[in-house]
Amino acid sequence: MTPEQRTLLQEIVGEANLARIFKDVDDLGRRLETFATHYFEKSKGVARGALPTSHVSLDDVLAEFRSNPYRVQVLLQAMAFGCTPEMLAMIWMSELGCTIQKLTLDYERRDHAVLVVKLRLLDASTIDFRSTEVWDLAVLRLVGLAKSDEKPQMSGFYPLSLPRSSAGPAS
Amino acid sequence: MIGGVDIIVELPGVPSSVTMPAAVRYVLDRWPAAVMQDGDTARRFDSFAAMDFGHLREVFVYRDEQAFQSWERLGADATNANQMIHLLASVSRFTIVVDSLQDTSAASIVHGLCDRLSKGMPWLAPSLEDEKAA
Repeated sequence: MTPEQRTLLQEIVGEANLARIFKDVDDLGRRLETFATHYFEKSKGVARGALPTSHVSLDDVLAEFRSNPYRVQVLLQAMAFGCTPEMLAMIWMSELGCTIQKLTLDYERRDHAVLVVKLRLLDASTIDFRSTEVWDLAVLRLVGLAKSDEKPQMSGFYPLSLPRSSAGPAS
Repeated sequence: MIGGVDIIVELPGVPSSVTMPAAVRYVLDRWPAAVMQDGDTARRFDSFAAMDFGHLREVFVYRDEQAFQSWERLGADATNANQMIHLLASVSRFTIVVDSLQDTSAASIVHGLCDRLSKGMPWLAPSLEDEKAA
């Protein structure tokens, strides 16, 4: 991460009210790079044109904050909740217009939690995202719900409203 | 000329950069071939990914390319009734404008969109900062 990227990322973390969570911006930068690598891996098997972009970089994420702050806020909040790169890639593809075709959760106390999300891409093909990490269930906190002609619909992810950190120490 | 109905959803403390994509996305789910246009600059968007919601306060969503072209040619003509939904976002409220709620398709979209904005999103509680500012 360059000094410019680091400064910008620190500003974004502050504006997103996540400074208390992401105290180590360098570590966050590495996690964003890991997410970007995984996004690229997931998009490898996808037909050209099925995704708005098959590649995402740290610079892309930083730039996106100025044009679409909510997309980056959602990504950072999902990271704060401990979501894996698999679900972060799913969220980012969704933020760029892919739709949740199917979501299944199989949970049994003290045994397993399996989350599978099937995204419908821009060319109507689909791609699956699977996780057995319980922290990935946090995506359910961020998903937008609706009904369409009384039929259920999950579409898009949106940031939680977070309290702003106090500027100074408690007196 | 055709008339219009304003439907206002109060959303204290929720920024327009979040309400607008939530609304556009809902309409896009209903009208998959929709064309979007910035109400301030007339800039056209052919995809959700290309929209910069950090700067959009007013969006026209046309049912499809044909509806967009017809609006370009004729404007608010009776033949264009219910072919476009006008969305306006501000800090505390979201406004949906349609030609008529007598049209069942438009009424269904408005009903679903109001539900989505008021209870389908993770923003029941405004931030403490917004409460202080209010």
